[in-house]
Amino acid sequence: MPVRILVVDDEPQIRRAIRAGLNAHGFEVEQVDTGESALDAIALRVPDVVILDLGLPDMQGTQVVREVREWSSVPIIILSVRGDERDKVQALDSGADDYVTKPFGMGELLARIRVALRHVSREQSREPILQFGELRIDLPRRMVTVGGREVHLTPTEFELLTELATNAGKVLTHQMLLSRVWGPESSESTHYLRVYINQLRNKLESEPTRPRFIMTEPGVGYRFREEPLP
Amino acid sequence: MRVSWPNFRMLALSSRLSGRSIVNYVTALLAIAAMTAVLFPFRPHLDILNVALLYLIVVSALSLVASTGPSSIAAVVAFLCFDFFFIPPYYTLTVARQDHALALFVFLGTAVLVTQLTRRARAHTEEALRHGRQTATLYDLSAALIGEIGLDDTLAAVVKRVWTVFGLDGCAILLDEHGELNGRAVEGDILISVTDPNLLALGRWVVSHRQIASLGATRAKLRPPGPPGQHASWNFALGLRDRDVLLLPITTRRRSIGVLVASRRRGRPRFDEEESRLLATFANQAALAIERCLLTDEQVNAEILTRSDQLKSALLSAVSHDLRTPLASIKASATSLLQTDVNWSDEDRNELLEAIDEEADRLNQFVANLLDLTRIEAGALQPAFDWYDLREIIYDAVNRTERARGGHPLQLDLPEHMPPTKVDYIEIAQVLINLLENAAKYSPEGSPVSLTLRVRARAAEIAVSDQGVGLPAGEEERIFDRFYRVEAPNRPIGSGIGLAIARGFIEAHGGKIWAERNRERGITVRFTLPLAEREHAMVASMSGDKAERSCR
Repeated sequence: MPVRILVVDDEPQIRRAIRAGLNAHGFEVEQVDTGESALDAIALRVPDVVILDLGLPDMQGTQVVREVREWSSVPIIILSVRGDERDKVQALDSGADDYVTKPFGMGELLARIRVALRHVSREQSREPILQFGELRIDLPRRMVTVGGREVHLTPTEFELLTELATNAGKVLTHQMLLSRVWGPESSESTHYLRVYINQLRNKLESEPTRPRFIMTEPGVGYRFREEPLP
Repeated sequence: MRVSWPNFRMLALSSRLSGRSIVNYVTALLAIAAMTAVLFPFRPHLDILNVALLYLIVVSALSLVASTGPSSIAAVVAFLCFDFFFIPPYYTLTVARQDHALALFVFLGTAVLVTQLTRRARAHTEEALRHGRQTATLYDLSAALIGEIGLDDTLAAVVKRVWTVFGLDGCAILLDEHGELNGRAVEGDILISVTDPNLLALGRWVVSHRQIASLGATRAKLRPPGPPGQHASWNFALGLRDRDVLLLPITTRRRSIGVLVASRRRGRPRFDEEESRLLATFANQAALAIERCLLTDEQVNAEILTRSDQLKSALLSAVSHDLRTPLASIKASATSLLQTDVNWSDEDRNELLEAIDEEADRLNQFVANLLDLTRIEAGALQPAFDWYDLREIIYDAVNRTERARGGHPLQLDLPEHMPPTKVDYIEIAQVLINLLENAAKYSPEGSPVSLTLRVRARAAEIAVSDQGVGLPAGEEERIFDRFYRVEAPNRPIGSGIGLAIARGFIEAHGGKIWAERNRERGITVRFTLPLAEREHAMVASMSGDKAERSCR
């Protein structure tokens, strides 16, 4: 059964381009142009992935995310424009899974869709050992190696790396990382998070200022690359 | 000779008996009684005149320390004691001898005179002190206002100052904006909300009549602000029963600016004439400062309007050129591909598709630049500051300009250690992208471009250097003007806004950006980003929790 994708955007040209690109990769595409019709479509026809524009005529994209999240965990990928970092973060913190900034390449959107689908199927079975290029994370033994060489991490660093790596390919906002690693009541600042990210990069990356694994998403958060840069 | 009671009421100036003044009266009477008790045993040996002088000393001393009421009473009581105990016949108020009567009345006259003189001197001193205090507070206010530039800061300074100086419980300014009163600055607890319709109605009355209105803590029924006298007494049914509120117009000769609201809880001293006069003076002083701000704002607005007009026309010419060029090549490539009668080789097809992709990126970049420029011109930049490693941003910018830099080798010179810097990642990356693209654009194919990062005292300094066409002498500043473009042999495509944006962003970060002509060829554009002392300290303390135990 083909994967069904709901595209919510009020611009017909964008819908047309996305539909053509997705059809060519064997996805089945349904299109709607308002937040209301998106809510109906998600409730009635249960798509596998939703691609949602943040600027809809009838309601805020973030509002759509919030309402959907009350009864559905369908992956939602946000479409937004540059400069909307605050909106992006809001939508992500409300439960959206990822975002793509307009104008985007089809390859980027497809990659996000694949990651989102993979995380749905992986949710039940968490693999004990994660491998990304040279980096190997042994979750049960809490052991991390880079190119066979063992790397010693503090418990917090390990938690942070696990959180990033189990969500590989997905963007994680500062808020998500802080609350998941330091606890929901965590009042730590993003600066605190940044210090730990730097420590992790220093231990994992050969050139910490030119990261291959942990990428900065400016103004939003971090993304762990599924396929590390060479 | 019998002397009847003179009318001393004039001496006992009316003053309400408060707890404190009762103490004063008692002290005064005790002092006279003590004097009488001390003198009494020596009566046979004392001359009448000596007794009079000794009493006089006490009365004079009292008039210096106590207020008018008690000292006047003391004078009268001293007079009576003198007559009763020391002037024969004793224990009566009658006087037998004429010279005694004279002494008695000389005593009385002197006592009254001394009391009055002291009262007047005291009044003068108090007046001078009060005057001094008023001058000092007014001076304070003006001094505080001179430093303020923005309207909101000025309003806040006035309210805060008035609140402190007068010991108010609440103070606010309602600003008259196009005929509508809006609560703009509030200090303390004013109890009634500044949006309360009744308060605003009274405020409007104060503004239009340019009169002070006071709301007493009385339980009087609500009545419209009436004009009897300077103070229109008006009371609200709601919430005001326990406080005094004073509304003063803030006006200049040219316009009405708003209302100053001052409130005090019941039980605290109530506003008197004196205070409301001083508050009015404050309000006038504030009016001038606020008007100055309003005028500056209006001037700035007018300036922004003219500048945005200029910007619009310059934009139109830039847009028509820089939007059309990439559009033209996209259109040409796309229509070529749509032609059905041509059999494109894979290579040709790829080239056309890549042209479309590249030109679309260029269009996107141009639109982003236009938006950035508009935000800078509108003064609407709000960098999203956060801590980043500048080297990371540099690598990001370098990666993203790979295509634009084409055949220019890049020489990167970055320090081994770099403190995190508080910047807006996206804006600084954009600055670097613009500088790198410019460097590549204005220098011959194959010539190197270099990027250097240095940590200087309290600042990070980044330099982007090329070996290109360079700059005519004296143009170093002008290249940061929007739509300025260097005259180059074969003029490269560009809108001339990249450096204007760079300057806007860097200045919003509190840094500086400038250009230098290289000794041999090309130019170097440098910019600084402030590094706070604090940042080093913070980083040091943060890395302190490395104490956390390592795990396997």
